Amino acid sequence: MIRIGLKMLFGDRGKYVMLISGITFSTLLMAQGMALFCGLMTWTYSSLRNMRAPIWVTDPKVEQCNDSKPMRDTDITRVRSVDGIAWAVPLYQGISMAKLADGSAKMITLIGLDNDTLIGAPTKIIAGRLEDLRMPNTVVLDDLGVERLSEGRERPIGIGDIFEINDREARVVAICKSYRSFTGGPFVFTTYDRAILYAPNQRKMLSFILVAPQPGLSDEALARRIAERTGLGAFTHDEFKWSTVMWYVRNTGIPINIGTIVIIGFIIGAAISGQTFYSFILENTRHFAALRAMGASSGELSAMILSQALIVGVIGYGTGLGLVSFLGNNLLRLGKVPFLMLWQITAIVGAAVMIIVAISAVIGIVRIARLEPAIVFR
Amino acid sequence: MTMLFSRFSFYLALAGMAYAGMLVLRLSAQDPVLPPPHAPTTTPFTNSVAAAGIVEAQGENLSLGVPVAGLVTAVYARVWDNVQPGQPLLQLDDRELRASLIGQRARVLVAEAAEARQRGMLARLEKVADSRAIIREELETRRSDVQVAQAELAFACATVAQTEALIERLTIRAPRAATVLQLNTRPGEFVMPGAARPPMLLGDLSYFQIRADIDEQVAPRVRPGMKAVGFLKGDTQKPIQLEFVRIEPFIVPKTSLTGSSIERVDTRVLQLIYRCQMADENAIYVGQQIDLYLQE
Amino acid sequence: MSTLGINVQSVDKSFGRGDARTVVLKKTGFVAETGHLTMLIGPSGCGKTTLLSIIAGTLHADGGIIEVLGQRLDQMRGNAIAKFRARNLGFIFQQFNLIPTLSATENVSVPLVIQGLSSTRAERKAREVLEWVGLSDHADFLPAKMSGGQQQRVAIARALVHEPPIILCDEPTSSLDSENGRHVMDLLRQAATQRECLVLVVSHDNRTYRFADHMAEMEDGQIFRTLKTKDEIRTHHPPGV
Repeated sequence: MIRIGLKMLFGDRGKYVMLISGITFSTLLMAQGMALFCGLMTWTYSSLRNMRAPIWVTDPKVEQCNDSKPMRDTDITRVRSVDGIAWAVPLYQGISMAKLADGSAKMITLIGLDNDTLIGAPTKIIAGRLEDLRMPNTVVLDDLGVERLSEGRERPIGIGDIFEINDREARVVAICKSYRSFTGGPFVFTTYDRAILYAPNQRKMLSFILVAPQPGLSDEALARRIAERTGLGAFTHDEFKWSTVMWYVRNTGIPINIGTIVIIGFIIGAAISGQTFYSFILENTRHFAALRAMGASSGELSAMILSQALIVGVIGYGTGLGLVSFLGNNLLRLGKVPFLMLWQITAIVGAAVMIIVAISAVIGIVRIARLEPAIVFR
Repeated sequence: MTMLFSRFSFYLALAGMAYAGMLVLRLSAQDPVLPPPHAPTTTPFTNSVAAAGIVEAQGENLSLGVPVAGLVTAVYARVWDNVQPGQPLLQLDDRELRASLIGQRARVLVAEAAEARQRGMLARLEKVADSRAIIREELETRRSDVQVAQAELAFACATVAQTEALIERLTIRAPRAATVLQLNTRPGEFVMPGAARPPMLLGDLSYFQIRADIDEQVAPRVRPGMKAVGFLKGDTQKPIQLEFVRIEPFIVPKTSLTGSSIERVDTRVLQLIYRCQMADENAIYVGQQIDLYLQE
Repeated sequence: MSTLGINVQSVDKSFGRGDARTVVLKKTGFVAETGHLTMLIGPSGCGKTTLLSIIAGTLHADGGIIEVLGQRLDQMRGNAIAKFRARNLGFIFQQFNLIPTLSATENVSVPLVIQGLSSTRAERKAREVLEWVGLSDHADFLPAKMSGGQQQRVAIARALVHEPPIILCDEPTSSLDSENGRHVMDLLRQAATQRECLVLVVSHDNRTYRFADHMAEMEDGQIFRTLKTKDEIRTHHPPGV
């Protein structure tokens, strides 16, 4: 019976393509919206991704990793005095202006790494040597920085080239890859002491303290202990990530805007597919009635309709997912658009598609169940 | 189901799902947490108090002072010189004093001559036998003239001695056995007493002394005699064993690094003094920053 | 040997309610025997299609006894009737009602598939029956590629494929030309005589009357006359008029 149902479905090529397109389009909209949202959210915590550390200690009022409420220098020794700490190093993070050769200025995110250990240093060095950061007036630029700071130059800024940060000379010694930030400024890495010289002078400069626990102690336990003993804010990597994401969800219109896209995708998908499927059922009413007259039970007819809907759903979903992945992958290459495909997205979109096809199928089944098989004799 | 396998759309969907799956796998791959580029300092103790310290010479560093403002004419010591107590270090310009000494010395000769004359005149008077021939009063006057001349001679000599002492004072000498750590002046430069930058910095390097700052919030956990290790800035892997000396009884405001004139005191720090042997001459220097861990 | 395949006694059926209520069947009685081609004739709106639907179990009567092959359909419920239909009844519709996306063989195999046969076995059987109706060279054609007569023959094959004791036909020739109509009626007669089926044909196409063994004439929801022999039929409905 299901075979017959599928033949009925595939046989009507126009309707079939229409049905698949509806689901594909809907999948595309929903998955693209969600991937955009997730991608944008990963941008918000790019600091955490670029400077990997198990625990981040902050001012107690800090909720997200782009927020800088600096602490006192001695707070680092207070943190180091908590038991169970393997190490604790300072990190400066701040927005500064980089001045280019042609006089224009670009916003950058200046990162000051611990002088001795360079903890938090970028891991993917494309060119140059990280070690050269120990030479005077040196910085490491990320690939976005190369793009931004090369404007107005004859050739792209490279190793050995010089620009200015707050009227101080900065010489590029290495170029790294980094994750893009939400604020859009490229990352410029230097040592902590030098970052403090570069940055506008403030009373307190210590943005974050990066901490690792001793072996055998969990990140969470140590974070709680640091918060309790010092009164500072302490997050594990994941906690800080979620705190940051939730901050953006609460304080920006991003979730509502993108949520609207996703819901519109769902509604359009449901409308197109529901409508097309219903008209497909309507067109085949006579055949369903004939089958019924020939003795097919309601259960068999329902199974037929369900399998038709399911196949449409699965094929439309697969095609849509492939399309969105293809699109996303090419957007990622450009690097300017946030896009993150998670398995959760594929699952949620899959579930939404299943709801759409289930609704369509139920409408069809109700229609067929109400059918008087006697109509075949008229 | 066989008819499904003959449909293009089925393979399109299958390819789509596979592609999406691959993308998901690729994007969800977490960057591995790499070990730090350089191993950071770690406490060797289970419970420890951390402190930031600075290396000093034993008994603190000695900023050499000068008694008066003046021109430096000679520098007798160089950095790294081990000087003994009393050994001359600096010579200030003494020409003015020496110039006045010439006149003063002449004055001594004048006074000697005057005294000799007075003494001669007295002697001649005393040789007259006839006491009636001399007025008694005259004799008394001569005698006192001799005394005045002697006093004037003594004064002239004292002035010379005073000037010589002042000249001696312009030779700055080592107050104790020490090593010259820093030399901030050269012949021809002008030095002043109480200048922010001393002309010479001395210190006893038989031991290093470490002054550790401990945040006042952690201060209650500090006990005298706590064991400590230190890590010099830039060398995170070589712990230096430190010996407790004392706790400074006075809590001082933290000297911040920013150096801004509008700075406010954020916090106060308890200072602990530790010391260590000079193990390897080039490994440790006065003025170096050092991270300390104190065993609790 | 002939037995009562269909025995309908005093069946009532009306549609609608209140003023719009129209009574279609009034205490109607009808019988048909196995091994014969019984024709049910009458003007449009006389209730013959309604009676056929009630016999097929696709329409519930308001009252009365409907006995088909000794089973009381009026006392059976939905799925049981469906099962009964699948096993015992073959249908031929006025509009053929072939599924346009299935080939002739597949269309013919549908009743067997409904009964739960595997598609390969069902299609093998379907090919045999298609050969019997003379369409073995059209076995893999889609309905749209066949003429009306061919389509109706496919429909006959479909009605016969599961060897039901009763075949119900609703105006099988009305959308065919006379040549094809005759061919179809020939096949139906053969089904009745060779296969020992009860063939019930609802028709108002007088060209087909000569194929009937028995004939029931209907008007205003009542069977007003039953003709039991060819002579009687020829008398009351002379051919060529």
